[in-house]
Amino acid sequence: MNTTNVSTQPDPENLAQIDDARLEAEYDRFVLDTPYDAMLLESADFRKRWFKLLQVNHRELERVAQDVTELMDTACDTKLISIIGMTGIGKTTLATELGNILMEEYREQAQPSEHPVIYVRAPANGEKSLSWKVLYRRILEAGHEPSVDQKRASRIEDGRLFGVRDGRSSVAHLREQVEGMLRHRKVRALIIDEALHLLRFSDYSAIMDTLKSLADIEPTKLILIGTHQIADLMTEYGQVIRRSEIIHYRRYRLSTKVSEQPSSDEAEYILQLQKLQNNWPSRNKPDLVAVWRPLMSASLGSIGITKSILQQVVVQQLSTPGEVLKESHFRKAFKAPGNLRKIEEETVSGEEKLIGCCYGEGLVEEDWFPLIAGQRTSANQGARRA
Amino acid sequence: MPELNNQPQVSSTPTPMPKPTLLYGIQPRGLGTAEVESLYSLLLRIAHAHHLPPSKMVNVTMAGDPSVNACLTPSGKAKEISRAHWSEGWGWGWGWDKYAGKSMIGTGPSAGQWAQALETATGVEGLLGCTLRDLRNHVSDAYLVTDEERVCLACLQEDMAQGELPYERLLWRLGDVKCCPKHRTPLLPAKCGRSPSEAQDPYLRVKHPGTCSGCGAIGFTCLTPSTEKVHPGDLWRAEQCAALISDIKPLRDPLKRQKMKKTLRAKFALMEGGQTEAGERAGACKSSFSDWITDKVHRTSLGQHLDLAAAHSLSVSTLLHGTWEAASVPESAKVPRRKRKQTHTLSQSTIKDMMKMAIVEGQSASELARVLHVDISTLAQHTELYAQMRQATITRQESEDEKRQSTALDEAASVVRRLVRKGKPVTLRNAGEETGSTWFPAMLRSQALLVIHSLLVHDRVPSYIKVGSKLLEAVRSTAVMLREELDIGKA
Repeated sequence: MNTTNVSTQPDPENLAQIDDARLEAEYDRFVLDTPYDAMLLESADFRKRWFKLLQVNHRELERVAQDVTELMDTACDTKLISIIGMTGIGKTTLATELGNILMEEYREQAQPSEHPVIYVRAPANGEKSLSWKVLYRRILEAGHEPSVDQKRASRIEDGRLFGVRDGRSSVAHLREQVEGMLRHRKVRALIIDEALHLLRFSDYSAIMDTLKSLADIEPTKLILIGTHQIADLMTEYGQVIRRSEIIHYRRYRLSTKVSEQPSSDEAEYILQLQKLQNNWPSRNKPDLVAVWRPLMSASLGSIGITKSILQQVVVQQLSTPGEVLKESHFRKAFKAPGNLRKIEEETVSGEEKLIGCCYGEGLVEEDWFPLIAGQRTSANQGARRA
Repeated sequence: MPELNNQPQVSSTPTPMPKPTLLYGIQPRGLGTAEVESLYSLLLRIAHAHHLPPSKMVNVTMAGDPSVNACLTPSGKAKEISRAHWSEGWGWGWGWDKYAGKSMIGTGPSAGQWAQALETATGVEGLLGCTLRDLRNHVSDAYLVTDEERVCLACLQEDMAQGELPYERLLWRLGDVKCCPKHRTPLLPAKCGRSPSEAQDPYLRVKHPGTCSGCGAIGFTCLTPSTEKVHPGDLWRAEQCAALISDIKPLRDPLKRQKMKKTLRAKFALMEGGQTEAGERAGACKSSFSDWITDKVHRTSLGQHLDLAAAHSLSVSTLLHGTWEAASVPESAKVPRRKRKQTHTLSQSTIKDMMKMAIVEGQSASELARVLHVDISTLAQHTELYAQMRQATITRQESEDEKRQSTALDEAASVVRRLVRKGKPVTLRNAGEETGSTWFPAMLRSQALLVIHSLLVHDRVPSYIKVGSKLLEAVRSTAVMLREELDIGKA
């Protein structure tokens, strides 16, 4: 018999946190829904927020989203998808966008108790053994798992069901809870952002065993998002490679030779600059397209870094009387050459590691594909006769 | 330069991910069949899937969610009645697992509220089918649901053979079901079959349906299968109840009850002996049978329905649906199973004589009432004798208490004496080692020992120990005596 008296009201502290988060989300939605012309009439803070929330959809982002959507198909064997890109390229933006795309796709079929998409950030703090605990707890919280602190471990041994003494906070127990949650909530996509932090936990084999065990749960697929450092993790283990794919989130390439006709990457970059210029949160708009080459060079061809630079310029411009644009705004916003060089070196070496390892880079000989597709050419007809 | 698109292409407003239901959407097993899972079993399985003790899931998780909480919180008048009924204060989910969740699976409103609460918490629909709530218009609560869990070992084995943990069938909780209709074996009480020494540490026990909470044996493998042969009448009743449960949903309609009574009245009118004879054959009391069949809202027990159906070779399920349909019933099943209440007539003078004898023999009023099959209020009519009986009982109890206290005190003093002489600290553990038996803190001898120890060491009684004034006085004098005897100085 249970006679415990429990308050009928939820914890007010939690309620306050939920309300704060919900209010912020509501405000952001209101800001984003404001049309451009109406936004120009608002305060400087409002306009800064509007520009910050502005998300430009570009060719590479759409390509990556499309690849992920293909791999997320339940008929596809791939269980582990890693999206690798240089620092600041906009991986978190991509993760949010992916979350929205996948959520929209699964929303119709999902039962009320299901949670098809879970997004978490890998923890960066704490000692080695604790980090797994933090990650598991984050996954449980993101999956809205109730009463995490009240849980107790149990095990089955020799046909008997036992509780486990002091099993409340062990890593094994938390992992069991996560696995149970993924199975019961029918989580289709578990997105782990900042996957780089996983490398700090322990040896790679332990990490991969853990990730593989999570990905083995049906119907869950694991999406890791991180910088080039996680490439080693993903390419080292054959067992993992068999059921995993790497999607390279590439930056736009700046041609070394200056020509009149921009390359395809350059044209796409210019297009994105034009979009940002059109949505500049001040009446004093800069002519960004005119300086596309230095901007592309200063951002290493990354739309994410470009957006960060321009956000910094907006902050300074809107704080200046008369919202006048100054040269100093750009000087402060641009990365210092030393730092930029460091980022570029890391990016280039990371990109080299990924050559021939990514999704869509499978080897297809020119002469045999037409045979599969049933396209008869004179060359292959000759080959057949031979 | 490429042609530029001047239209801003920015992302649409991010759509927030909808929050899933509070608990996992675990489906009840066997819904719509005779093997449907009971709601109590489902609740335990959900708690196990969440790695939560069931009491925590109910009192913390479910109580903390406003929408689930609202399903089980009485409102208005009901709340006032609840508060008045339980003087110690009403709590959310109070007594939810009393008698193995009896109220949760019966015909009362509580079953409906629990089904709704779990539907809200899990998003699974149709959970009313895991209760007997749909029988509320036809069957009274009396002896309908058992106070304890029972199991069919063969059914549990089948569950385990499918690679899943077993579950409790709703059918097993019906008081009129004595055996499993599928395996034709008697249902066994769900109590551990191992010796108490093999029982698990209470802290490590996990509550799960079909699993022994004593030793943790999944599928109650700790129990020995019964070799007893099932009575054909019991088997027929179990089969009837199974058929009833598999077709329970249409009985939700209250008009079915009117239809059934109308059919019965029409049939009995054509029979020789009419309604009275029909009731007699079913082992029913004449007046209550008459009330039941004529009154629109009157209900009777499931056992009475079964007896009626057996006596007239009917199927219970079709009878409750209001159809007179002949069915084959074994001859041995036609004998009414319900025992009619036996009445004993006693003269007041006999009662008086028995009360006088009880005073001499030291028998209490409740013991005498039980022997005579009378109510205590009948004894209380003889005011003087009853007062004498009460006084005699109180005096006897007091003397027994004094004797018990004195024994406990002597035992405690003896142990203190031995421990001090051996130079060991006066603790309950040392006392246990000295005597070879456990000294639990709640025992009277343990309390006496702790008070003596505190008086000898600190010269005061610890605040956390509550003992009566008489015992305290006796302990004080014993402590003074021990101090002198053992030559212990002042604290």
